[in-house]
Amino acid sequence: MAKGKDICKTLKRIRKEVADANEIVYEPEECHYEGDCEGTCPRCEQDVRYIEQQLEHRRVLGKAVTIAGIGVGIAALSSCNIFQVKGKMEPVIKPPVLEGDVENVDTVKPEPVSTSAKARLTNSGTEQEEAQTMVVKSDTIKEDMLLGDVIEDMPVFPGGTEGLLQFMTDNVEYPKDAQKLKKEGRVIITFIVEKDGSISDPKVVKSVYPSLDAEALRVVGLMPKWKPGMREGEPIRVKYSIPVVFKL
Amino acid sequence: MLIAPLIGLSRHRIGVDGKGVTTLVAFHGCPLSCAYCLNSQCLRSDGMWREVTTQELLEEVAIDNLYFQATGGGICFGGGEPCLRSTFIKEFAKKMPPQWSITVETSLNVARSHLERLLPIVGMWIVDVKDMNPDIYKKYTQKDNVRVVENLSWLLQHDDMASRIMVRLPLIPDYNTPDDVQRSRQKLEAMGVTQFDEFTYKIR
Repeated sequence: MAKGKDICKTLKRIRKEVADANEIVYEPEECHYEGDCEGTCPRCEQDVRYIEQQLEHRRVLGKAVTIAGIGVGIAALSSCNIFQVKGKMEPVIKPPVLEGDVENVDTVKPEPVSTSAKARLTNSGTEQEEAQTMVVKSDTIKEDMLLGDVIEDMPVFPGGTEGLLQFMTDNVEYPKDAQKLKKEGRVIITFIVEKDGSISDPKVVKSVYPSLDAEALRVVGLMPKWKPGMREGEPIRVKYSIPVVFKL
Repeated sequence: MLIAPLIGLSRHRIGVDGKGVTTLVAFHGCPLSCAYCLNSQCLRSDGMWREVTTQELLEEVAIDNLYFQATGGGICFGGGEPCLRSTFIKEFAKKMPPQWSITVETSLNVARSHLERLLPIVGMWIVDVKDMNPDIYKKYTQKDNVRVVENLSWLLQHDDMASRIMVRLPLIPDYNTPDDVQRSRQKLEAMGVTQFDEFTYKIR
């Protein structure tokens, strides 16, 4: 079995264990993607955020929350099944500028084959998932509030996910120098959707090539105002991540 | 706010960097020049991927907080030589949720002051000694291993350290032999090391 799929299954079991231990209703959907993956995908990330939100709800309600150690056995078993390989190598880390097979905060999903030298958001049939928030933070960055803050309504680009895809397709130009050098890959940009819907603090969190990074940043900077995220009826700042795929 | 150069991050590593689910944070920069270095970009001046502050790194890796806490995992710092970034790691550790564990994958060929800084916060030390024979070590890394042996001995003097140290003992094609590996193992066992990971370097 492919390594990525094994990781995915292990992580799914850990999520299920945590959910069950905290009386959270969670039935992970069966993954029908047949190729290998990187062990996670936007759908999986969405499930993690859901469980974190439910855990936070329980905390707010004064209920006990149990996480520590819930998945120790699963992880240990999986490491025996998957990774007990003699003759293993040192951990291989490649900078994304070379191969891109080591991911950072990106939630990786399978990519469709592109037929044009045009940048786009990945859209392998689940664009809405791809564009979901991958990191959720409160409007005040405090260490104890980094995780699982409850957001009732996520920020929305004008026209929704389709509008976002169209906007990126319309505005992103493949830099000529990158085309000449056959540079391609997925640039991940994070930014804050402010309370008034404006975009701030755009950053490249996964770099591919300087001109590709710059182009992705440029287009994010052109975005119109979003509908901000909401909590308890009040607009809040939300960190959002989008992938911009450059494929020749 | 401290900044450190990275060559990569790798999420969802299970059982390869210590307990549980871990994220590997690989630093740029290494004191060694290993012949078969798999991450040679950590030695090149243009090999850096990006720089991060401790806060930025925390915000990125926190996406897997649920998995870390549920499995007793956390962050594995590698590289490159992570111990050279001891101040950064210490600042990061102060910010991170206390339930996360910290592992370092190190050559231990660094100044003692780095280890003193890291000792209270590192849960697991994965030490790649290459080979305990000084000549083999020097031939393979271009450096002496005196400091490695001294630092390992120093670490082992602390309480309960044998259970927190895993020594990697590679069979290095063209540099050492299975007999050399066993000789290294005997020396290490005499020093008090109890956990080993023997494997063979694969050459690309």
